Amino acid sequence: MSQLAITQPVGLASDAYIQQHLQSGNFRDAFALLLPHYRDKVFRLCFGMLQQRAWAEDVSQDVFLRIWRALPGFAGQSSLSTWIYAISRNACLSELRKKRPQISIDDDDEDGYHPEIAALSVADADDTATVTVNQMLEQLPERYRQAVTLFYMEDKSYEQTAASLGMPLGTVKALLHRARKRLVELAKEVA
Amino acid sequence: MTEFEQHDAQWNDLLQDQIDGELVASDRVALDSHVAGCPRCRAQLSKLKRLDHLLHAKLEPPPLSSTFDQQVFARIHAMNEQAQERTRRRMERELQDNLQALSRTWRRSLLSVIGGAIAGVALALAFLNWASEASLAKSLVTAATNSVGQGYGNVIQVLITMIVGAAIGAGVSRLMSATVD
Repeated sequence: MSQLAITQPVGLASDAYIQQHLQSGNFRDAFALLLPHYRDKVFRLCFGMLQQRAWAEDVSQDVFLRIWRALPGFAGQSSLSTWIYAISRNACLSELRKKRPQISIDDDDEDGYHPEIAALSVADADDTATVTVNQMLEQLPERYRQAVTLFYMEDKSYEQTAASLGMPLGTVKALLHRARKRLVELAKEVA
Repeated sequence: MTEFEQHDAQWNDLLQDQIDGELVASDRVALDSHVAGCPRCRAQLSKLKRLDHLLHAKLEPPPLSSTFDQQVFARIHAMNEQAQERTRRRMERELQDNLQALSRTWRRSLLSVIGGAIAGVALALAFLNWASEASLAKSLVTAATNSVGQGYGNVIQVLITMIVGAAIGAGVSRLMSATVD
């Protein structure tokens, strides 16, 4: 492992370059290139799904351990990014099943009166807005929340959001539109 | 579906596309024209813009720990050491099992050989004693010395004792070995 630590690259490597290392069986160098390249994307995906920073970071570490163990078996059936995002999603779903079994990802009918959503009617965000936004998002169905969180964390990139969530771009777009429409409706009820 | 719902279903996606900068030119013209004369869509667009700004401002990705990579490498290192330790323990266990099995085999073999040898000699002597009383041994030795030559009587008698003893000993050893197994 000491060799692994020494060979960490300074810049970010492309998927093709990483895959060259994988094809030549040089898994240590491939991993050392892969980690800085995917670290933030995996973390954002985990945070988008888990909504808690410390939890997301722990699971992100687990994801890279899974990747490390599975690298020798990666045969390039899918692209490297697709494979990594799939591992990340599975890790998050597994965590959610373990720790938050009460959540139903298909529960789209959880409307109701939520006083904290009143903040949406306030034009300027104050210090409590971050908490309020999180509370607001918690009122959304899981899939809506994941889509909207990841979309904004990925700087409003439909492509990256779709890749991370493993969904068609149109599905992400539909989820996002419904999520924002729901948030506006909830705010209107409160106002 | 109410009239408002129909109206929203028709325009909401376009309003959101405009927020995201995804509106194609032809749709933009149609939307601008509609919004100009539709207070409901103007209000919705305003709310969507405000929501968009709020989400964009507050959904910044949280910072990842600066020691994230080191932690990952440390866990991999620990994982590899654990794997090596597991492998070492497994190999030690297999070696112990093999040594124990070998030891069992040797003990069994030794027991069989010693037991077989003692029993073989005892039974061979008993057989020769009986054969001597029955003049069978004398007949065998006589027949053998006739064909080999005079002066080898004692040698032939010892050889017969050894052959008979070995045959009986081997039979007893096999029997004892099967009994121990």
